[in-house]
Amino acid sequence: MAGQFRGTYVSENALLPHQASTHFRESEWHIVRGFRSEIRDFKDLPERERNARLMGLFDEIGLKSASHDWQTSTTEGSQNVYSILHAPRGSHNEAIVLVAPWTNMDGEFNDGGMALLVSLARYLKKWSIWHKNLIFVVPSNPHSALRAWVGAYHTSLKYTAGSVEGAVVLDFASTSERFDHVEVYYDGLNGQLPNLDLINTLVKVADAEYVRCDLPGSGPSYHLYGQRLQTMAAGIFRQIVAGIKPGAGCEMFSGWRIDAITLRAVGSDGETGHDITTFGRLVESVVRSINNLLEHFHQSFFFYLLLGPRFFVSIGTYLPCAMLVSNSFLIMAIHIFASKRRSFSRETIGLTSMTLGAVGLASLMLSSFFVNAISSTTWRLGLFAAATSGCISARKLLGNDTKQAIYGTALTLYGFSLTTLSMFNFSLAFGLGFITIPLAWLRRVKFARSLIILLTCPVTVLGIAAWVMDIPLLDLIDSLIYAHKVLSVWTWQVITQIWLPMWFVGVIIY
Amino acid sequence: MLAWLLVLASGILASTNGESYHEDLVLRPLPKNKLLSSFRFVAEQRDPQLASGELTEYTTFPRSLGQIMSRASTHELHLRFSQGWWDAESWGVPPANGTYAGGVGVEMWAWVAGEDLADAQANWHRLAHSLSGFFCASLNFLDQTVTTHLESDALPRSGDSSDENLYLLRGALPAEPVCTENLTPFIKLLPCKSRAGIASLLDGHQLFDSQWQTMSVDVDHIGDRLRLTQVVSNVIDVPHMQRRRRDPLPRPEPYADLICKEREWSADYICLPDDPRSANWVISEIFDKELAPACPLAGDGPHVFVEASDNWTVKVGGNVTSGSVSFSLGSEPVDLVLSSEDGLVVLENKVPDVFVDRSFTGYGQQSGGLRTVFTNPHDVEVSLVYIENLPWYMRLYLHTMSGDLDIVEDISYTSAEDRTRPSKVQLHIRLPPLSQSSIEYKFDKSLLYIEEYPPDANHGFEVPPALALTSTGYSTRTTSLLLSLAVPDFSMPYNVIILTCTTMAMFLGSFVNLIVKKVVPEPLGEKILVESSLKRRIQAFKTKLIGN
Amino acid sequence: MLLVGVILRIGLAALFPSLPQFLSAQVELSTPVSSFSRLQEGVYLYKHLSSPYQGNVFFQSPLLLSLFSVLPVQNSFYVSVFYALVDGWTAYNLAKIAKARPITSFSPNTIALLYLMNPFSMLGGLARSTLIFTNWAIVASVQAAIAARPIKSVVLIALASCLSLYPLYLVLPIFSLCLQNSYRYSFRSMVLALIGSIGAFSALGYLPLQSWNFLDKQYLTSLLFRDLSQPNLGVWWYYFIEMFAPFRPFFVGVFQLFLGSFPVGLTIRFPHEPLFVISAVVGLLAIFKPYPEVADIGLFLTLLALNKRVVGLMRYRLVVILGLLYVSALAPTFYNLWVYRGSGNANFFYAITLVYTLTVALALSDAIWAAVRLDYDGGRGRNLMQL
Repeated sequence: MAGQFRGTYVSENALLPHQASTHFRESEWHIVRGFRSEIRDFKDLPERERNARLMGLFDEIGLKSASHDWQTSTTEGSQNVYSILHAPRGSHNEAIVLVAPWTNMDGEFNDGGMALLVSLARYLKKWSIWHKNLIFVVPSNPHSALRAWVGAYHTSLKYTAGSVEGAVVLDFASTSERFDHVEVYYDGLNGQLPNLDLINTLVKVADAEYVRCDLPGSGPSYHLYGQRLQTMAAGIFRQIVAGIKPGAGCEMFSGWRIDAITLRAVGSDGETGHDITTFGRLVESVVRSINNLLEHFHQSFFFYLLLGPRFFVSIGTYLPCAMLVSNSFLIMAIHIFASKRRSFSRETIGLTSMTLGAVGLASLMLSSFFVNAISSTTWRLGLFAAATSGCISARKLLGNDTKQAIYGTALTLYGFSLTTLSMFNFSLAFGLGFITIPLAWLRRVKFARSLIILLTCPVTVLGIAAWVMDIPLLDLIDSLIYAHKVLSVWTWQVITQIWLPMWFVGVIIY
Repeated sequence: MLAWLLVLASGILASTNGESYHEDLVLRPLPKNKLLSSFRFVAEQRDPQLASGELTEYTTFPRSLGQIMSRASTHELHLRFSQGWWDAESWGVPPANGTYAGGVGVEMWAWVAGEDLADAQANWHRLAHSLSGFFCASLNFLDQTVTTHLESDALPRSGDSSDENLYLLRGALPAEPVCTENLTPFIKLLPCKSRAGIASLLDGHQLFDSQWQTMSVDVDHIGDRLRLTQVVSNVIDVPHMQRRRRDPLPRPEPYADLICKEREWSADYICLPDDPRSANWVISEIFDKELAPACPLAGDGPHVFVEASDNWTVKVGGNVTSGSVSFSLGSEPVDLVLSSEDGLVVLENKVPDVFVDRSFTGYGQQSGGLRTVFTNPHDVEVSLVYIENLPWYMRLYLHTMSGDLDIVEDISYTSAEDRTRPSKVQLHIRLPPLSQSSIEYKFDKSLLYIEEYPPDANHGFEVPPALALTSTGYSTRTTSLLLSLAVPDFSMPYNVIILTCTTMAMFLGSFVNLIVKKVVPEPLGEKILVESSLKRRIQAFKTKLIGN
Repeated sequence: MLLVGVILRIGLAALFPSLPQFLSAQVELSTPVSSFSRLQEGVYLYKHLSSPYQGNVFFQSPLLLSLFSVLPVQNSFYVSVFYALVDGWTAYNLAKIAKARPITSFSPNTIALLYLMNPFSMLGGLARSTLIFTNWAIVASVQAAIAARPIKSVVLIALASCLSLYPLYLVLPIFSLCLQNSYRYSFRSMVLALIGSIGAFSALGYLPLQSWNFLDKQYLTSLLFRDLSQPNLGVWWYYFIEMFAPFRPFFVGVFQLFLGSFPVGLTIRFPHEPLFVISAVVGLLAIFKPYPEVADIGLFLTLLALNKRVVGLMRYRLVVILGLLYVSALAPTFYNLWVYRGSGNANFFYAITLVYTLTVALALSDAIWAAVRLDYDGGRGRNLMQL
């Protein structure tokens, strides 16, 4: 709605987007084509050989390149290639990373992106103005491979180049060399977002190059309320599933204070539109701006919801929504405690603690212990069913007083958890609160209790989510656990250790 | 005429002063079209401060530097200005086995005389401040929070005066930029400045556009003689320099000039770029100047050495030779052309004794880890000393040292003192042949007072490079590291003061209220309230006065 | 009950071996003057390299240095067992105090449970903060005073002061407690005993390193707030970061004076209830000490429970509990947002610090008002108002 959002602006004066003229044009296009054809030549070779050829291309340019072998514990592994341009005028302790994975997030062959990366490397080496080292990375995919590289960079990689200030992932999977517009992905894991200035720089640069910039999942007319609403909803959904659903690559830099975005060229099947060197000039300008920076990105917002490339909502406006949702649980809890006429007896307190302890323990076991011990998801669902039946039997055994105590305490703790979670990952907290708010009404609503229990069950909601995302439920749970183990995404923990106990309590008391 | 008089005068003085001055230039092509150029200027004479009775004065050795050194009671001074990154894997060993190369930024170490450490530190302070103005570099920041005191034999002495009251002090400023304003005073120290001799090639525009460059000033005593060694080295990316001459901006090449590799799909508009392997390097193009005639004070020996493999031909004036060559400068300017059919074939570089890499591990601004990787590429054991000076706001936990600890023979540790001295970690390491070992330990990052943060507080703080010295005399340094510390909100002093003091005052208020006051029943309380109202008090006071 | 608490701590340490290390890194749980990793560093330096007191890492007592140089400090499990046993002993002493005062305190079981299961003291114990030893000494001293062993009590409070500086403020109430419970020794002899034990412990501290450096490093760091490495739950750190340089020494004096002005007043106001005074002073230390941590709060809550009637008359119990819950949820959150993620500001964590101070200050003033009421009429009156 008008008045609730603001226009974006570049906050850090040092960025100076598009103040330097860019020269990645004309004959550089021939060179991009040359690299692209060469890469297409060796793309079908076995992995080691094609990586060796790619390293050869970087070597010829004069950069120091190496390969990185990685393997996660789940017998998944491959090899990445990376190459470092050492800045002649810098102190060698800062770096900018440019990434072009072999396959983009949809699994398409990213030959345009890789060709662009190599030709940009060749071109950028001609400049003497670099204050930060440039690292060019070609991981085998923008998910676990890129994550493994970023993790290794900060622990054990052979050549490092200082702390990474910013990263741009290039995605130009196409059959032609032209594209219609650019989509900007800015998600991060666990609700982290890059500094808004990075996106603002890109939008300003795209403006100057007359390239349309869109946010994924929405169209061009951001002045319409419906479009902005759709963008915001899509943004919230993407933040919730970041790490679980294969993303665009920029979220793999989360956790190390690296601001990263992914640029994706869309509409690259036709013969009209901007050419690939325009895409290259976007990247060049963004890298020039990041090079200007003396300090890390710190001026602009880290907490925002983008309604469009030029409109955002800052935390002061959207946080009250999450607060209202989580506080409603607290208010119900206080209502329950306040409506007791006499205080709880010792047995009640004892039984309450025991039940809550059992519920907590069951959830903990479901979440972490069995993640490591039992690898099959069907076993996990079986355990879940066993725990649910335990709750249903507890329901028959416990008295009304105990049930009230359990309900009140659980609501309090749940409210606190949601508040804390909304500071980290607003989208997840808001979504979770929104879905589970009926659990706070269990004692007031007389008719639809079973329906509420069914609808707020994590398995049901995950099933609906799986249907929406078009993957089987077991796969969704598997990817949740994988994200937890490999990418340190908390969503699985949140589901099993915050949502699940609350639902178990709901089953007990309804 | 005047020049002849000068030469005569210097000849007369030479007999009493024992002076000498040498200069030489080494040019060496490096792999991947790079050229290493190393200028060395050595001036030697009897020390006027030590001479007694005889007439001596400063001739080849610059008087300004001599006076600074004697005022600061410094016996040996080593100063390094460096920028860029030396690729030890591709380029081997820096000139003179790494003796004249420093870490990024400015580095200085000196053997300073003094009665005790405090006296020596005062002399160091004097030295740093004088040199700071002299070299237009912020050496005045080498205060006690950055300077460490090492044992006198920790670093190799290049001179030989043995005085017991000498203290070795060392400090480094990795964030110091090195540019033309540091080059100019450097050149002013030379007898012929940049008008004659090899120094005529030194130009700020060219020198500072190189991949790696270092300037060093070493002053030491040999017996009663003073020696000044100045070395400027840099690694030039030759195609880059040639392209810059044509066009300072990397504008796209004209279509016709594109050189492409042969492939099936090659066409006019598809070009896989190919860099020509033949090289034709004209020194006057690369350095923007020709070699001027020789400096009259320099000796007759060969002034220019070209170290190239046999496929290189060197054309000097009219002479053409192939392979390594050396020649002296004459009385005419001369140009030098190095060419080869295959510029990628160069003389093999000496493999360094050890490769050292240092990086930060961990994330977040509370703590981190420091990881150093030592690689020994030879099949003999290498023993080295690894010296690391870390700023005081890194609180080291040496008990967390992990990794290949059996390579560490000895640890010498001086811990830091807040705002007083940095920490010093000195490891004696013995590396097995053909091995790669790593050592890692953790540290905590500290918060600072608001005025101790620099204006670009979110940039981070630069941690000086660590020094590794092998027993064979090879010295190498790691890169500097960027330490990001947690930053408070700088706009908040007033707000913090009022909020904290309000909280404390609120508690104080209610506490005093409770403690000091007496609890009385309500009727009595109301009675007291009525009695102590202002009207009654005035009446009571009047009664007392009048004595009613 | 005791066994359950101790076994739970040992079990947690065994099941999650990296938990103590993780907790020790949390700023709310361990401070530069009580951090276990610094103690490990001190022991390492003492054994291998140089004096731990010449650097800027170790600011703790040489008695702890000697103790942990004989214990296997590198083996994390045994250390956690040791800490769990010390905590168990503290709970045992607290239970004995409760048993000796059956009317004015909750039952011994409840008290021991409160101390051992209290999340604050449990986290403090699992994080292996060395404040646990100070707390043990304080509680043992109180127990000895109540059991009519004044000399033992004085020696123990001297030990507590030598381990960490601030228990010195408890000396007056302890004397008062001793005099209340035993008639054998006079005030003067207790003062002499105090001075003697402090001297003895200092001499013991001289022995390991043969130098008096530790006096400067341990006490002056705490007194003059020299070490600013990390934030904590108190109000000092942000204040002194943001204060302009010329005023810092002045405000160090002001803050110390502020802290020191309360215990004396409390002792004078409640001469017949030294146990309550001790609880209140411990609570005061928990907020206005330069380096407070949650182990302080854990002890305060338990000691407060030793005064059952005071707790019964407090009006804001729910607010305090909710406030502490709120602080313990949000303090690590905002610290993480500031220091690890970089998306938050120092002000977020500072705000939580202020909330913590206000919450405990509310608890303290409420408790003091309850004590005042008790003092006046035994809490029977109904409509009492504060003027």
